[in-house]
Amino acid sequence: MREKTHPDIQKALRPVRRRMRVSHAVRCVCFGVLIACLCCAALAAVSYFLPIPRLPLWMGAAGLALLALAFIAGLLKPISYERAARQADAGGLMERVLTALTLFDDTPMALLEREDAMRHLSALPVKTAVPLKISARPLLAAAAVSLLAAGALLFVPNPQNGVLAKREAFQKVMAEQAKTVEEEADKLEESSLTREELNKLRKLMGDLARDLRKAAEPQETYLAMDKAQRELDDLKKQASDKVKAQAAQAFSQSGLKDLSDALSKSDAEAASKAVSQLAKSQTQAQSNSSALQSAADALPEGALKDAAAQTAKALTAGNAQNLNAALSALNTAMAGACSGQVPGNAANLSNISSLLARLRSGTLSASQGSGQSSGAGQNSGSGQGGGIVKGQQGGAGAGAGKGSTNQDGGISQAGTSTQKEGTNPPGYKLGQYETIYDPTRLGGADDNHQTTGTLGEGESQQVQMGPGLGDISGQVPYHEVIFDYQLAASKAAQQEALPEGMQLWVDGYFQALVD
Amino acid sequence: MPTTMAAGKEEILSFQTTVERIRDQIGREIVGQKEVIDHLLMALVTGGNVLLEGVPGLGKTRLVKSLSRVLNLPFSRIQFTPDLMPADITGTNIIVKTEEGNSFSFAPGPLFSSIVLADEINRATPKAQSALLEAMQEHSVTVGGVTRRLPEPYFVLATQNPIEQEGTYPLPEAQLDRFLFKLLVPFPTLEELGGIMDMTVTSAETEAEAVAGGEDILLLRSVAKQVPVARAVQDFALKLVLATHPEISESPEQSRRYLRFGASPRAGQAMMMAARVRALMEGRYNVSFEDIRAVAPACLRHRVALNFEGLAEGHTVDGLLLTLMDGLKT
Repeated sequence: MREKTHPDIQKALRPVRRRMRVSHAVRCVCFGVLIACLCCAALAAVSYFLPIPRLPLWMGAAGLALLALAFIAGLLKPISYERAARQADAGGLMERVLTALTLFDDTPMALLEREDAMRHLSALPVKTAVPLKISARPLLAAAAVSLLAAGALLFVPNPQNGVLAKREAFQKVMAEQAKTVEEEADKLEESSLTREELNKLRKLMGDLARDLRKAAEPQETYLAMDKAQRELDDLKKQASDKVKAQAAQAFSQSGLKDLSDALSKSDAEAASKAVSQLAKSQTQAQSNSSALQSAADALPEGALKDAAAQTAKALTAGNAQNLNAALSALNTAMAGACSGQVPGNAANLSNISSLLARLRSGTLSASQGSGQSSGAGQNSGSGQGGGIVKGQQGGAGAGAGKGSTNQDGGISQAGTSTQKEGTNPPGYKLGQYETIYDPTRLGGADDNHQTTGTLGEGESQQVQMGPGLGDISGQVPYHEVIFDYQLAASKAAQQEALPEGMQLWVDGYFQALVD
Repeated sequence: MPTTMAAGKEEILSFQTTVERIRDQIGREIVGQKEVIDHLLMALVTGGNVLLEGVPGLGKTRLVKSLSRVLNLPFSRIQFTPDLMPADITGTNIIVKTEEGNSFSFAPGPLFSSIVLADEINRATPKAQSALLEAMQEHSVTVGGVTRRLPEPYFVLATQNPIEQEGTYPLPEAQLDRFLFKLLVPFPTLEELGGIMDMTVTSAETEAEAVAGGEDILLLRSVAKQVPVARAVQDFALKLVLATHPEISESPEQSRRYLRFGASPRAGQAMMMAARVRALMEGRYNVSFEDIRAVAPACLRHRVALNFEGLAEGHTVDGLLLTLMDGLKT
């Protein structure tokens, strides 16, 4: 049970207690230094197994936080009056304060004792009685731990540094892509979209830009783009459904029931039949023309509106050649509307689709960036390493949009180099990573061509090419190799841990090239 | 927390000066022996008795005589020999011739004095030694069924020679326990010997003056009883007593290994009383750990005994007590 303490002595002990708290806090900080060093050493050890970006920053933050915690913990430790009295007495007061602390008598002896204790306590140099001692042992231990950790960091190569560099380069590319997305978002126009649709689109792009910036791995980027693609597809579908509904209503109101029904059912065949019926009867040509013109006036801007107006004019003019052309255009436009094609006036959505395709190319390039620029095995190896780069960058203009890396132009179907799509200066020479695959050297003495490179996380495959397909300079006709590239790409996409959407995109891309 | 009777502030403040005066006067006749003198004064003020151990010729008798002179108290000396009878020291009834005829009259023995020097107490028989017991403890003597009070203050100072052990009767533990202190009188240093020569074999010999009386000693005793002791300090003294007991499992390794038996509760009382006096002598109004450490050896060395292993390994009681004190947490 704690004894009651005299209030006068309590008050006189306050400076001693304050000083003891600070002294304790200083001792705690000394131990805090040791703990901080151990924590930093542990972080350093972990950094050899896990990539930790900005390691010195984390170490500094952890160290400072631990020191601050140690200091606060030391300050908060309660100091009892008895302990303070003992500390004061240890300064030469010979238990005067300790005795007076619990002495409540008012006898002459007790009063003398209390006065004596107060007098000595007030004359006590608190700083001398409670020195701020720095504990040497924990500091020495901390120094030893720090030296060991520093030595390890300096002289033991960290395998994660490469991972971090690659990740940093990747994130830099992603930041640039995010900036591109944001710039595109700023350029969005209201022309063909409602305010709500525009806001959705801007939000979609904003989210995409944010996800791109946050992404540390290509996986995350693909997932973000998949998500954006799905949302975009939803928006496209909504836009096309809206246009289809508007068109169906316009045709219905104009009396072109067949066309309206075909659109409502998204039946391209019925639409084609209905279109062909428009010019069947001469007597009805004029009424059909009027109906078509009326419908064209009600239709939203786009290919269907133009085709309907053109067909109406052709029906009125009676020129068979023009009429056939107009009917063909109308047929195409109807087929497009039935298949959910994005209306031509929804330029924003098309631009964003193209942007996403470019982003995918850029991401793939970024994830392969280190291999491409430095790996001899990849660059001159057979198989998809060189092929994919070449295919993406050379053929990207046709299928998936412009390539994002300004590198080699690739091979066209005619076997000649395509124009480089980048901004390299005219005298630019092909670098090692731009070496075009040369199948005439398959099986040669140069082992580099047989070496399979590592492409990011996947393994490359060797594709057998027939002999003599390439010329002496190593140029290979595009159409001779595209099918093998398509096969290799499909297999690789299935092996990689890619999201399903990405795999479909790879297949779709090569299919578009083949087509 | 100690409860105290009110004692005047002046009496408290004059304690140290009174003791200083007594000490100074004794110093005029005795060279050195400061610690012995201080302990003697402590014992006198406390009301305890002292056993002095030292080789002959160290001035033990002279010291006691000086003390009696300074305090103006009657002094008697008893030389214990093997043929000493109890009646020789307590006194006895003798037949005296009176006008009415023959009757018994009590002739007091040398015990009936304020300061009694029992010289070479270990040379007397246990029977004679035990005659001192009542006087030392109760301050009274019972002869022929009649108990007679002894004068206050009453102080017995016994001596024994550590080197001549043949034909002696070592004091039993029960009797040893009744001595407040056992003091070891050290041999004087060269300077002290020079001082002794100057004082005793030349004409420069000085004599101490009486500066206090028995009432002063009793007053000092009442003041000393009021000195407060912190709980932690008292616990330190009591833990030391417990640490001397080898049969207690919590006692230190050295006690369990080298001691035969430990101190009684009377040792704790002795330490607390003596420490209070020492505190006042030092000019403080409280007992400190230092006071306990200063009086502990004198209070405990005769109450604790080494076993064969301790004796065989050459340990001393004082050495063990120091080790025990150092090992105790304050």
